[in-house]
Amino acid sequence: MKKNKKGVSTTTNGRKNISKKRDIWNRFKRNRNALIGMAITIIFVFIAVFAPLLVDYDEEVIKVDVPNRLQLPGGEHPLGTDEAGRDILARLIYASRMSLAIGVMAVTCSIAAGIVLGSIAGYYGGKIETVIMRICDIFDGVPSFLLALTITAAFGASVFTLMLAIAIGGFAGQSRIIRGAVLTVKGQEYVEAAKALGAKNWQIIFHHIIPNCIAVIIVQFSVKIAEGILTASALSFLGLGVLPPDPEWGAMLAGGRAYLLDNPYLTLFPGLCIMIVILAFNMLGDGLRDSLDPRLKR
Amino acid sequence: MEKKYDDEILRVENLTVYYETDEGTAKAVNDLDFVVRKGRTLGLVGETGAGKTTAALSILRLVPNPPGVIKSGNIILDGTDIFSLTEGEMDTIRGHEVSMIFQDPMTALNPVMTVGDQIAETLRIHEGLNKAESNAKAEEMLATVGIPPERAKEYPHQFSGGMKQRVIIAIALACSPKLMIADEPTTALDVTIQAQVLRKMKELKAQYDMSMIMITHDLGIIAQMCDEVAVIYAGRIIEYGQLREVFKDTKHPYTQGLFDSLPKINDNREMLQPIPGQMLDPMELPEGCAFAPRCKYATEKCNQGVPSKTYFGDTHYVACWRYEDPEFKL
Amino acid sequence: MSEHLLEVNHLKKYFKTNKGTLQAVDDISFTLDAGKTLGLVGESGCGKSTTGRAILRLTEPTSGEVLFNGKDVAKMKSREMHQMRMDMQMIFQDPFSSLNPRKTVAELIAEPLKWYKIHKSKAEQASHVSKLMETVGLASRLTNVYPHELDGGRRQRIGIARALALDPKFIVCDEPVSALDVSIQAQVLNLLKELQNEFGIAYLFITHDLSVVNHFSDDIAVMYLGQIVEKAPAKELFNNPVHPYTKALLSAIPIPDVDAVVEQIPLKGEISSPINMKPDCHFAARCPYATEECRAGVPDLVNRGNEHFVACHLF
Repeated sequence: MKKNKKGVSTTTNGRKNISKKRDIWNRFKRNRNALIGMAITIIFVFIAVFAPLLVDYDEEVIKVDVPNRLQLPGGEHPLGTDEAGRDILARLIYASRMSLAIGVMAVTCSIAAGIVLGSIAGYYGGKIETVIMRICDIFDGVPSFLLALTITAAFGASVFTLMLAIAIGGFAGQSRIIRGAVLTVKGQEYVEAAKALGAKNWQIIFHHIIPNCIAVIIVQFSVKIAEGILTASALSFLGLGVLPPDPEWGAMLAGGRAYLLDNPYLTLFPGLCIMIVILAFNMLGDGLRDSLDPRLKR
Repeated sequence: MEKKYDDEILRVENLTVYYETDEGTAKAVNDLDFVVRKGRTLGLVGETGAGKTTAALSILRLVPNPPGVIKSGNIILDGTDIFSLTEGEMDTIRGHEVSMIFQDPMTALNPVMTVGDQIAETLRIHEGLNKAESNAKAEEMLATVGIPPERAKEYPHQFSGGMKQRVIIAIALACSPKLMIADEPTTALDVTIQAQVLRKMKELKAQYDMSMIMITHDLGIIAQMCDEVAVIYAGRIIEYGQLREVFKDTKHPYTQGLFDSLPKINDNREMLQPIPGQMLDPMELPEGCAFAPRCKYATEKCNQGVPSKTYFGDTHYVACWRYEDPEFKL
Repeated sequence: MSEHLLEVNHLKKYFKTNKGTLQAVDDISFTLDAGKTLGLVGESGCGKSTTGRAILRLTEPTSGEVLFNGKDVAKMKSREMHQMRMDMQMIFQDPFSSLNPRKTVAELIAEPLKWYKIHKSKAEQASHVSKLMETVGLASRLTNVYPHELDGGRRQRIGIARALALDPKFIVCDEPVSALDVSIQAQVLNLLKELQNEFGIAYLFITHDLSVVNHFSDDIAVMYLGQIVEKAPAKELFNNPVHPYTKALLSAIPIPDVDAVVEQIPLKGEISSPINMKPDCHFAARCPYATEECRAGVPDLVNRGNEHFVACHLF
């Protein structure tokens, strides 16, 4: 592609002629919600990555300090302490590593699998499609909790198994949704046009089909990350994921339930974290989807 | 302002319609004047985006609002100014005094109602007929447009494209309207079917003594169907006259360009003479003649203000600055 | 063995449907020489587009031969076919849906160059793209514009540039101008003509508009319900149409001349269903001259002299 320096010429309707990436960015940055979503996401990712520098794991995160348990927010502990006297802020900061990693990784895996299986099933059809879709039916038929239990029982409880369990629980649904989107795009004339121009099947899938399914994929991504974080916390609560004393938002939420009436902040802060992150991902996802579609208004 | 006639059915004066969107204002129809006389057919010819359909929708007050805004103008239908009517009064006019046939017969019918019911419904609403009467009349209408009446109980998907368009014509005719507006009625049909439908429309027009506005981009259909012709470019009539005047004594460079662009059936192997360039974006119309950027005769003057009408005889006029010079010829 | 660029022999394409076999293309044969144009005319549902797609194997032919430079395209393995597509291209009817809305003009035109790895460097490819844009009359400022921002005529020029990118010898043009306004239609037709004169490309020009093919073609074949009913050099066909269907089709075109006297040949009814057709003259049901014989068997396509072929029992 010919790169022009800075908006070189103008089209008939007086619009700047700009490169594709810049065009996408221009559309993105005009979307305020998307920018807010991106800012929040970046902040959380930053916190997660630099958590060891922000808090002392041994001293603040896991050290039991019974005399100081259940302190109200303020003073030395800005967000208070939990039932074991650990600083809630420190634990939240450290927990963001686990929660984000589990949510993002698990959903990335299940969507990646969904894209591969869904595109193959949708594009090629026939026997391959039948086999893939029946496999998905089987996985869909087993409750994801049971599946996760089985997987953890087989491989032992760990963060990795937790991710695996969530990913396996989700890929069947993803495949089904992406296959639907692929079928719609496959019927478009430009796919046939690409074939006539000599594109090979994988080229058609990567250059035409997946980019045009991106809206569906992004929406799935932002919705499922939220679900992933919640599932992770539920499994952790059952002792199948993140093991105590390691913090995890869901586990913290679960742990605070017993003190809901007297010390609501134990559940409030992890709950807020989950909510804000999910909201941010959704806003970011919507913005991305819109800015990637050149047909939408500038 | 058009001349007064005793037998005029529809008079449109200074009609201006804009579509106001976030991206700007599209000037779809600009200062349009025309008259339709009793029993005659006016052809509105122009390319995509010329404003033909918007003009037609204005007559029925069906321009979608927002974004469409009727900026100015009068539309007088058989002596009544339609902009002075209430929405309820308008409902009795639509489908009763004026009916419209749309381009796509595939989407204009309700797929879950039998065609007989769809015709009968119009009759019940406008003519106050009861069920039995309206059903009988519906079958009669089907026969009129050349469909066996026993097919009244069938659903639209059981009909082919040409048949569907006939059903739509039957609905349009059911209340014997004074004016029928046909918006590209045969564009979606094959030529042999188009010939059938056009022949039927011409026959029925005479039978019902209606007036008609025929909107099309096809000069062949105009030649076959119309008495008067208005050539529209960028929402303005740039040439108007009797069919013969416009076809045989073409004055406007755009009209001439349209004729030259057409592949002729009897001259093989020769380059066509297209009109250079593209139609302007209706959001960015120039101050002067909208056709000037594509016109090989354009001069400085053409970019400075909308051209006024120059008359040749009683009705034939052209909106082109070059005719200020009496010597000018295409 | 064959001196023709393209030779289609007994091509058939049947589709299985719930109601029976749909005979979209039913045993058609024709030839096309390098640098020439064959117009394939017919109404919707006559199988003309399926013919074009079957030749390019965008849909697999049921049976028959498609010889391109003497080699049977219909029997090629996918690798051979991939190479073959460099020489056989297609221009689509709808310039709105045949272009991926997420790609810019330059990306769209570069696509075939990328598929075939024609260029080693991006710069080379970019200069090829801009040359192609110039050839088809697209201004260079449109390089990074998306197709939805352009009008139909410019979009169709993108389609043409894509088809030209690999220097094909043969292009199937499937109704390339029927979605365009007349003034733009003429521009695109002229462009196609110029490209043919310059590069010696052969066209299979599929259309429903007889006046367009007449202007454009050396030979014209008229199709009805999957079969060719008449085939002749363009002039011959227009001056001396023989088949009742061709005559009706010609007479149905509205002529933009107030003095034109056309004796219309009205056809009964509409095109019948191409599913489970009987072995008769498929046109007999609508033909004003049909006899018993017409309903008894499929007429052969017979040469009546001057390369004028007609499939009709009346002759």
